[in-house]
Amino acid sequence: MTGLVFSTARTMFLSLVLIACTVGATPQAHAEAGDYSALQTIVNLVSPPPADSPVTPAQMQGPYPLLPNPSGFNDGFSPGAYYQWQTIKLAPSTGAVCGDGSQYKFFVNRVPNTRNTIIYMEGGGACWDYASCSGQTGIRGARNPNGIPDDYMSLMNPASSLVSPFVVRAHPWSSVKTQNWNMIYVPYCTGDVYSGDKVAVYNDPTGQNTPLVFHHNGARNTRAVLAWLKNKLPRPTQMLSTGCSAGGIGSLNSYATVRRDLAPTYGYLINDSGPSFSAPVGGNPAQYPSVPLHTQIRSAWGLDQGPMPYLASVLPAFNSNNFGSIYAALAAKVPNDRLGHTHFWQDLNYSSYSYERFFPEIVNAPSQAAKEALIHAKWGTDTERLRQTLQTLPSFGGYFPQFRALNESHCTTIVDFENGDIQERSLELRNFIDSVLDGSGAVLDASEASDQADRAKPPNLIYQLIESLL
Amino acid sequence: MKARWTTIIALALAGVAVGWVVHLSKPTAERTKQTDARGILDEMRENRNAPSSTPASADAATQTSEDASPVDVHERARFNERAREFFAQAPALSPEEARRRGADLSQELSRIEQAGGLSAGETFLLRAGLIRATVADERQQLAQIRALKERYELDTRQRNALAAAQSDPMFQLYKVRESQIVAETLSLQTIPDGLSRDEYLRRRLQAEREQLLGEGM
Repeated sequence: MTGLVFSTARTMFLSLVLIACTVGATPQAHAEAGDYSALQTIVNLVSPPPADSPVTPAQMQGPYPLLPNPSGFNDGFSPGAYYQWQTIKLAPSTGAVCGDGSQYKFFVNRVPNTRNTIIYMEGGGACWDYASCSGQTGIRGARNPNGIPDDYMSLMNPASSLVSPFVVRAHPWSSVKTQNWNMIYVPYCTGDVYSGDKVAVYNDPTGQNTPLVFHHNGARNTRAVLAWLKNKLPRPTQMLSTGCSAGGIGSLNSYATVRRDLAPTYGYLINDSGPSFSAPVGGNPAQYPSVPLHTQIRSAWGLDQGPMPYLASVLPAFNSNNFGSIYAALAAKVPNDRLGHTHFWQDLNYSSYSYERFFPEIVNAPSQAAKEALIHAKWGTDTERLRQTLQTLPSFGGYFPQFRALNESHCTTIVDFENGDIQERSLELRNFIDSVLDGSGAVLDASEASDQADRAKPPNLIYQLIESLL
Repeated sequence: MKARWTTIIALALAGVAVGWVVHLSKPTAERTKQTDARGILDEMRENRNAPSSTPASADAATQTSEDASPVDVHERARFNERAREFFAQAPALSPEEARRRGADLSQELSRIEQAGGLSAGETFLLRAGLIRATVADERQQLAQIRALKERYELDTRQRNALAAAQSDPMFQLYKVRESQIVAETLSLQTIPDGLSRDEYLRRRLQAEREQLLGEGM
């Protein structure tokens, strides 16, 4: 009898060892700060590691407090459900809410073998008036105006994991170390690049419909997600905050507070195509083309009332009268973190949001080509200033390729890490990502002068198909 | 003496292993019933042809939830490793070998997908990658990936239709109250407690959500 029990126990023990070895056997999993030992991984399978840096009473006070779910609230989290996308629900008392007033949710995919964590903020446009927030045809708007379904990760949602190898565990073409990390997928439903704090009431200009009530609540949602992470998961040793477009600028704007409160040993930021351009209040739009947009969103999203003064309190060098000051302020605040920004010179998406509704010459352009040329020119002005700023910041790299035949050259890190090359310097986007995540010394700065080589590439069939999803 | 300690340690480990299995067998709180999904989903199933390249349906996901079959950690980690190996080695494999290994991966992918271990975006990309790696003719590749995309899009439309048909009465009540509170707030001559109108409105709506939607959502 003892022999039988011993034999069974030995079999189970060996199974756990096998699992631990397999989980830890992937090439990228070796020798990473934050990875658990094989023995600890076994223990984690049996007893998932609990939070070790929970929200303190002091953190639950003051402006933008960290408000966890109330005791007994069923958030849907199962600590031992590794490798599954789990839907995490946030109670109204956390302050979190989607644009339409529905419950805010986010998604967690946990692994047993590391503390390292990626926070991926979903992209999806922006909105600041009735036309854009109501999803009016012909106007660029914001993703998920009707909230987040529970089965969001099971939907063929182009904004979900499809769009970034950072959060696809076994991507067919592109590998990166975050594919072995705990993944936090933060969906976007507030139209405010995760930065607003205002319940907007937008009147229908035609007077035909009732006013649209829209909760630009991104700042509080991000705090609520952070509170949950602190109370439910171990403190990350390595943490990457990233996202594309709205998610990119969301990760930029929230980095200082996420980094402070989650307190990873090593912090990384990759802002993909969500630039916060220099645009001083009262500045000349001819010189600072993003001034009209920033003026609009300051008001629509309530930025000057709460979020920007709060950010300035966290980042002493941040000038809330010029959002573009965030790069230098962040580099000064966390000089040992590795920070990166990337976007295409020919991006026609974020640039269109930025300028097309604010400049009469663009609105009244005689042709689409003329309109695009004007947008590209303004984008070029803003991009060149940002490139020069980043060149002065050793810990904040800027990577600016020219063109990719996907999604209006918007976002360098979506679908795959291919075709973000800078041929004249023999650089691939991969080099920039590696520089941020694994490099030492100054983070890579690189910019491409000509789009000729990019446009000369043969058509990419996969991109053409995926294009129709985006 | 040493053997006895070994036995005790092994038994203890076996105990916790059993505990772990039991723990993982518990359904997660997130899993909910969607019993009225059957009719639409039956139709959806008929529209699908190749099971190995079909997205996990809403029904399948629900069944998985109800059956609470957990993602096998070993299988999942091993799959990641095998998929990466395959995609790296595929260009050098013979067409037969690539097809054989691709078919194996596809089957395993289906199992993991049915257990809820992958997002739709992940499975779509993986399946597209498998097609690229195992189908030589570019036109066939494109046709198969297009068909794959259409199946996933159909699944999404079906899921969205299901979700739209399941309105939450408490949320509907909240939306009514939201309109009333907005109208009240906009009509106020003086805002209480020295607050700005925006902040007052935010707090009123926050309180309303806590009252109506606090625990029930």
